[in-house]
Amino acid sequence: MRKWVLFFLLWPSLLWATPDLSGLPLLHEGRVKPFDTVARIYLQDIYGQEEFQDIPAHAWLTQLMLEPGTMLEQPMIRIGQPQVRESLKLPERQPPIYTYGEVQAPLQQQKALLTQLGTKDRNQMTATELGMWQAYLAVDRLTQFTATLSLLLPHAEGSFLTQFPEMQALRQRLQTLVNEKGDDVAMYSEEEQSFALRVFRLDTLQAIGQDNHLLRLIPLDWSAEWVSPWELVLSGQTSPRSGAVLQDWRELVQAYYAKGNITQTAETLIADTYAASDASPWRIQMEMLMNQLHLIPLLAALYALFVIVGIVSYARAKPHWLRWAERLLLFPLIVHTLLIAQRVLLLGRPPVGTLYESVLFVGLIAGWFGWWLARRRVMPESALIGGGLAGLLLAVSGYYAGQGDTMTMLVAVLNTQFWLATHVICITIGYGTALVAGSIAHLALWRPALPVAKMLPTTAAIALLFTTIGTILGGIWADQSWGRFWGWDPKENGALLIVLWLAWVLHARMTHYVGVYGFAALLALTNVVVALSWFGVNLLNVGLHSYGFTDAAATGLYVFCAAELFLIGGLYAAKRGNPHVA
Amino acid sequence: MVFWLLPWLMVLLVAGTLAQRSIGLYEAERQYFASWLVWLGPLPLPGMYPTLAVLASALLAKTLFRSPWHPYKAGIYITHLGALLLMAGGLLTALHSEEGFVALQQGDTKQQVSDYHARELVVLKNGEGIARVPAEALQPGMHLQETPFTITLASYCRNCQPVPREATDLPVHGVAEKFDLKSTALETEDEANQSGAVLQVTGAGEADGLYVTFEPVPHPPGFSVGDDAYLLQMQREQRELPFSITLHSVEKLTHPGMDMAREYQSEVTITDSNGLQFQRLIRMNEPLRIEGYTLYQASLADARGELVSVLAVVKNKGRVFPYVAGVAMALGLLVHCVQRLRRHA
Repeated sequence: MRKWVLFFLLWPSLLWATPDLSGLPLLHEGRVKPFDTVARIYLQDIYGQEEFQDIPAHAWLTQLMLEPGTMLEQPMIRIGQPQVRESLKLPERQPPIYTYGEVQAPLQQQKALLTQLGTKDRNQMTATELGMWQAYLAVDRLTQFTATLSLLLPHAEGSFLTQFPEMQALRQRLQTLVNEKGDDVAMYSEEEQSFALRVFRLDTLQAIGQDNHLLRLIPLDWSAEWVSPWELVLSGQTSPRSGAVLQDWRELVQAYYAKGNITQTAETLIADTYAASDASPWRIQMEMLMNQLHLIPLLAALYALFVIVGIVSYARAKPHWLRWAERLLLFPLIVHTLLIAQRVLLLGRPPVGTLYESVLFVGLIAGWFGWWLARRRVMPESALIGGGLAGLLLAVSGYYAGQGDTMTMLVAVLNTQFWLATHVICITIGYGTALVAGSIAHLALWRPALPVAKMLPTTAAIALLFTTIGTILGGIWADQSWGRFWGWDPKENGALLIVLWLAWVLHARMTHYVGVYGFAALLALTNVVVALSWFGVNLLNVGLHSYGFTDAAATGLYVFCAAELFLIGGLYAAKRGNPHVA
Repeated sequence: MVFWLLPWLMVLLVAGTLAQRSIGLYEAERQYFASWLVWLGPLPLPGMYPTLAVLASALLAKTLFRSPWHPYKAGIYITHLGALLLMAGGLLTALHSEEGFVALQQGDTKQQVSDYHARELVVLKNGEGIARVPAEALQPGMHLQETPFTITLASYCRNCQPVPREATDLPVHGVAEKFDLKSTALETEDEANQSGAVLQVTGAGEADGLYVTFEPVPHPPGFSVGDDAYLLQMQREQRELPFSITLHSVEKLTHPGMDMAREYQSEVTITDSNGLQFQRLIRMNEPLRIEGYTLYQASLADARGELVSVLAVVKNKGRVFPYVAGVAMALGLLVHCVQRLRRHA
């Protein structure tokens, strides 16, 4: 209890004294990013929010590194799943947030399970297993954070770093002592006990520190690599610039504990880190700005507003309102474009390397395509459809964002600018336009008198154009890279299926095998074909293109397909049954 | 009829894709995508070959004889022409393409490609192949060598499992002393199947008896008769290349601070059929093309701490078709879309 009272008394002063390292560049998961981003990612993973008790994420992480003992007393690990809490015998509380010690101790009892989970694919884990694994990761990460600067933190005998040069001699002296008196410390004098304890403490610090790689704070100015302070010291490889950064960290720790000028030392640290690395200041600044702007929630709100206005306008049959809604759509589309442009600038590659990115991008294409069709004045409803699809896909992308940073590195085979920029961009434009064509076909089935029905073959032809070019470019990529045009990989087959489907549907109309409603119904089914080809092939878990896929996503896909079949079948049956329909 | 061929093509495509989960890509390709017939229980249905053949013929006939020329349909003609070219290229590829791989450790030189799927049983005499039988032709009881002694195939399995040997009156040699081979279910990924054979040698004096040759066992069984040394080897089918490849270095480059590879690359020397030598770097997405072959960096393997570069080797005579067809289809569809949009404008 006293600890708690003390903590709350000290808390404001700690906060006031926390150096601002938000703009510090560091290497994380293959990319140089701001300290602020890394802190937000982990705080979100561990605590479930981007602020810790009204403290910004970067201050939380800085405190963990500088004041590990105090911080670990705080409840910060969110264990959302009741089964995991039960397995770990954690007391029930609201919110279900626990301290490091509360979670770490029972996890020690689950070593066998954790070892097994360590080798298991995350997509194959049950919800409870995943929860248990996340609890383990939270503890492991907190251990890593608190050990990041442990070599610089002051102790009674000085920091590890100050004692490091004499470590070898200290160990030899202890070995001599053990040889003389054995390893039972009860046989040692008080001074010898104190000495043995000191060496033991240093060895423990080093044992924990030598595996510390999570926060790579120090650039090696002769390569693109960055290392943690522990790695730099233990490897013995340094340069004047890298050494200067380590010295800055040392001074920051000293200033922090001596209540010195931490602002100045933090600024020097950031400047020296830039000097020793090829980190781009404008990229770091832009990423920090984007972190603060929270574009995704803003975008979701703008799409929601647009959809509400659009639906109300459409329901009340107010054409000029629809035109206003069309203009309103420009706001979310511009923000959406900025969001993707930001990803391109930060990653230096086209924004379609992962499933999450492709969902975001297809949403943008659907939005712009719908808006463009609306601008042609033939079918103002298409803006509503495109914008609605964009908003829906934005919501779906949230599912695929998963945990951690969404701006990830790509595996070697995908790590190519040209083919991502051509094949993947083209095929995703094809997905977006096909979804818009399919969705407009729904409307044509429902309201056959609308002019949209006349534009249906053209929208389908545009979708066919992009999916065909995208599919062929994929084959050419395969030929250029692997010497064969086609490999019957499920994703390749999925893309071909969309092409064949659209070609068949268009031929059905052009050769009059089907009437206006049959054509609209078949084209509406394009959404099902696209969903199965885009997401469904991941259920097979085979091939070069297979991504992770979970039971929840599979259920969502099945529900979507069943709902579409039911809706389209119902609309088509209703029109066929209407004697006034030709 | 042509109109209904497209849905049938889609059915084959979907069925073959779904089948990959249970029978793997190789079998699915064989049964659905490179087949004359597809069996629905006892019912034979047209496979991909006849479907594409009829589709191509019908499309050609329609384009030539039943499509009156009109500028408005220019896009459609060009697109159909592209589709026909694509199918023609597909036919050429299906008939003439070859795929295999070469696995090289640093310093190795090889001039042979191993097939991914086909296996063969080889009898080597003093290092020279004197009998070479494709796995499909292996029949228990067949003789691989008849004079001056006989090598008879006792059993063969496409995917074998070693089992403890039961007592036998025949002499046994090498791993056959302890193990026999039993046929087991095929793996989903065909590359994971491990072929093997049990062979009986008679008329060779002390070398008479049973021998087991099994793909995963690195050293094939052998015996000597007089001054000649014989080896019995079950292996992936080997094909000669018109050039040799020497691996100088192989490298895995990772993203900074990660184990994730961002690039694999192999530095090789090619010695062509005229004896000319040149050095090249083969990287992911940057293959080497030589004498009609494409060599690309397929993967890296770790063999007891040493990196092995696996280069896939592909020969495809129809590779130019998709390029021409792709351009034609893209152009045709573009023309068609522009014409439609102009009409609506």
